Amino acid sequence: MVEKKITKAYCIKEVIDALSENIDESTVIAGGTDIMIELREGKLTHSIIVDVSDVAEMKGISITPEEIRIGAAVTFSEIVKSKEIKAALPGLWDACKSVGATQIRNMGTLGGNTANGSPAADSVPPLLALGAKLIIASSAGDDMVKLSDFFLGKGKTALPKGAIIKEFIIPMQGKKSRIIAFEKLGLRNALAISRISSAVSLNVEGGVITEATVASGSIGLIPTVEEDMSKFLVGKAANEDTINQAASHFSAIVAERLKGRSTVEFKAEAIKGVITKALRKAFNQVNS
Amino acid sequence: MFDLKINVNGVDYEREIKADMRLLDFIRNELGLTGTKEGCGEGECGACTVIVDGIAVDSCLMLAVQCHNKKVETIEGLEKNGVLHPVQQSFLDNGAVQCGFCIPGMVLSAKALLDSNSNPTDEEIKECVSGNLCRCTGYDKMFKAIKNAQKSYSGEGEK
Repeated sequence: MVEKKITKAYCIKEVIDALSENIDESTVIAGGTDIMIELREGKLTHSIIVDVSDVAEMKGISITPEEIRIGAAVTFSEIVKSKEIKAALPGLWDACKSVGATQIRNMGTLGGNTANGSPAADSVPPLLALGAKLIIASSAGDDMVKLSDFFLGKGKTALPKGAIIKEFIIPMQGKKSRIIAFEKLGLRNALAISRISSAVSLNVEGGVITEATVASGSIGLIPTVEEDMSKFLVGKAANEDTINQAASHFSAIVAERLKGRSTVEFKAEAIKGVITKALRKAFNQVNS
Repeated sequence: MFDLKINVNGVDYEREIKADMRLLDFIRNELGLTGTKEGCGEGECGACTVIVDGIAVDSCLMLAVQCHNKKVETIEGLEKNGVLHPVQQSFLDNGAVQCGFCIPGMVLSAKALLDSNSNPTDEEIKECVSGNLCRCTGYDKMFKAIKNAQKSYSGEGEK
């Protein structure tokens, strides 16, 4: 068996150089919470591992009225500790707080959560609902990609070989905070993989929803921007009646999408509660 | 191979190790510190919890190389000159130990919390051990033990 080689990188250039040594054989470890399981199961065939957990350009949170930038190696705990993120992007904060448990959050990173390509990733639905973009670094330089274009299938992403997610960019639309809510249904309160999740981002004026983006996790093969649900909400009043209608509408969407699968009865019913809670949280953020 | 430099329980080590060696295996096999346990190997149980640079982590999910030039605390490092750490003592005093397998991880999670926040809320205490599973005790006495440890806590890292 080929012995594995590891580089502990401290800057992006070191990462790209190490990956470029052999782009077919190289992979990245950040928090390790996904990749170490693959290693243990013998599924990690790469012979070159690059540790990016301490790469300077991938850490750090910066907040301006135009955008919030979060480094890909920022851990869930670092996001939870940020009072600024809690105030500016409450749903993203909630999602990060819901991941695993303390130890997992201390290690797991935003970048890893996206790069792993799981439909159950908790931080992805809020990032999708917010219209987040990724900066992808490679030997060809930096590239900006919409997060909504990044997921190609279960476990498959548009990350090219030899490249790495460097940063997340979240548009703030000139505001101090965005209306963003997240709700997840897991089988227990901690250490729970999401069974379904929903994120809702809204703009509300005079009690009417003027813009909406709904995103879901674990309903289908990839984290999904729910175009139909998003259009459904626009123009409706931000009230309980809309929530009831939204719950039925989403239930019908899920029933159709998962038709024939064993989870359809559970998920088509459970999505009502999840979207109800998410919308209530979002409406509570209006004018707060 | 990687030339690892690491500080464990206050002692500096330099060892040549394989790239894919887990921190857990380094601690148990290379250093012979078997207090840290492997309960599941996949980050679900917390029995392998250690503290790295003040932060509680699952050592089964970390490569040893990721701790290059870092400080690691294992359960063996808590007792000083024959005196148990307040958290350890409180676990004993409150009957929070049954089979003992989850205890090193549980104690270190609690220590990591109290080191950074010497006055946690009940919710914060529950949160800090939410990644440590115990099949014996039902968690109640552990919660009491951590609350009581908080009272007599001097806090090594406390400012």
